[in-house]
Amino acid sequence: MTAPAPETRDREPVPAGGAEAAGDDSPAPGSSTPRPTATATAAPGEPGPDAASEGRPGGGRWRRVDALVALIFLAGAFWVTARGWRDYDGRLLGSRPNDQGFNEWMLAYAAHAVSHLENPFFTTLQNAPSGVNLMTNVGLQLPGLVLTPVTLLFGASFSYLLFITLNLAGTGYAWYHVLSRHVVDSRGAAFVGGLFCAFAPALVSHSNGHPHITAQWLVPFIVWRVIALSRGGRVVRDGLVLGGLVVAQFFISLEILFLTALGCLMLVLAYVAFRPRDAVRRLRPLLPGLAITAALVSLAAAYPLWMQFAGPQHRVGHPGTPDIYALKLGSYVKFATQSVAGGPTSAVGWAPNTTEQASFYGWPMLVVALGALWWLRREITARVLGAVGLVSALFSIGTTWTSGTRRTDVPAPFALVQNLPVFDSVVVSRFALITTVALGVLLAVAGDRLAAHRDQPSGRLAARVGAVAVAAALLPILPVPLEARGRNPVPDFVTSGAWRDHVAPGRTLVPAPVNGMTSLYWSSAAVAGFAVPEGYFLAPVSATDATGRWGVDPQPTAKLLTAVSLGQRDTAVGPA
Amino acid sequence: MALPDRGARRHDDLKTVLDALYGPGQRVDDVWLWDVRPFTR
Repeated sequence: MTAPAPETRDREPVPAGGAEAAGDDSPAPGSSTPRPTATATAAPGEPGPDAASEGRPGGGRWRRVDALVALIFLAGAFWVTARGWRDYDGRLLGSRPNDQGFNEWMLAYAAHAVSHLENPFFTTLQNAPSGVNLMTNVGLQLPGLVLTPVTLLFGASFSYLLFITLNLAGTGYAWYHVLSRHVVDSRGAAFVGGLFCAFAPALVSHSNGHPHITAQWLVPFIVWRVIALSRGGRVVRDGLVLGGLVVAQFFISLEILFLTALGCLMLVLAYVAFRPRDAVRRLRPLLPGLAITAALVSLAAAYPLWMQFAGPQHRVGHPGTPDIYALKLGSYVKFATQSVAGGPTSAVGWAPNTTEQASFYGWPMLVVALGALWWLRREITARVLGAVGLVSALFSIGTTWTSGTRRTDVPAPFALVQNLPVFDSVVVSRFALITTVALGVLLAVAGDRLAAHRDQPSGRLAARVGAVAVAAALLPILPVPLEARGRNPVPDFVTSGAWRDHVAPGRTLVPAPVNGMTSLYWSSAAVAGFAVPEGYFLAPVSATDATGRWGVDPQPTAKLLTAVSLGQRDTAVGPA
Repeated sequence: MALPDRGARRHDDLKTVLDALYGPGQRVDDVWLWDVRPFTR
């Protein structure tokens, strides 16, 4: 049988003695023999049937393989972030220091909120006295909670670097785990899929300051549980399990949760388009299961959702037009700034900035992907993945088609949805994060099919050619270490804790001259122990206009001090 | 209000302005401090 999207190795829950094989039993493309299918009955999330399968190594060996894969992903993550680890207190990792500064502050504030039992969704400790709606910014409540001991012991800069490093390794391993247990037989193919999902330009470029985007280690499990839900069986339990995962992702990054939900919706719609009858059958357990999931999420997320959409300092929409943050068609064949074949100028004009390079697969990878789609065109998995990847890629282009690095006036697909709620707040280029996952899973599935036929004379050659092609496509987009730069030192007065003798609880410490990032660095160093003016955040335009904007207008005294520091005015001060 | 003793551009000018606005600053560790509470609403 097949799941509503990726056909999988797992089996339906069947009565004892039942033996319905999982996966699409149709002959694999290019072969006259059925594709091998799993024969065990492991539940999703449990150790797969690998060890029990015929002719396979024992579980101990697979555990060693899993450990090796984890080590490789961990080494890769430290490779990407190495320059930050050389001096985490003195350096900023990547090309977006303000984004890092804000997210370090988020971790610092989370530790403060936990240790002082304060509201994790809104605070006046930044942008005092008006405050910041943290839900309408990046969230990060769950990672902040988990990292609280680390933040309190080693500081927010250490926590941030640990977080951004583990996100890459964790996301890669999570995809490897789900793919190897539920989707493919070949551990090598699962490794390639996990490698691509975590170390393609998408997550590496977002490691320039966006841990809320790179924290995708629950995404494969969420997608998998949606598929498992469609199989029927224990609908209540499965709905609650999915609900738990969704709630966790909600408190990691609402934005990634939205993109995950959108990806799952595309997946279901693609399945409906390709296999309508089977899709209708699968909707019967899926819909009640999702209703249970929704009920659980509603309970857990009611207050933060209110904060997000109606709480103090909430905003509507993202500053600027969607196309400011959109990709170009050509960005799909170009190379990213932080990839082996890329460089400082390789993405200029093709992406909004060095962080938003979620496509940039390079033309060899695109050729391989198209080849895999053609080869596997009879498999529902490949068709669904192709459809999801294509639609999300088209969305990432923005409201108009592009020609070269220029934008035309011809409407593109995102124009249809740009004014819908939530869509109006999405950073458009991030739709390519869905494409990246679709491509990663496609690589795993294609690799698995190749591996399944390598014992046949004709399959051996095909497997070798395929492996060489994938290697040739992957090598140019493998990441190079992110750059790092020195950060302005925070005064000893703050880092030593001497400020406690001069700033009363709940009062504000104003750095002079007033600067949002200086505010954040000082506050982070004190684990958000005092309030600061300004900051770096998204907020409404005014108390009566919720349209989103960056930051706030400086107060008159702040403007005065800035002008003096820039030499734009003298030091004479008269009565107000 | 805290003015770092190092790093701030035109440090002396800023201190002159802050002294004029809030009275003489207090030196603590590596910053100059002014208590601005009497001047806030």
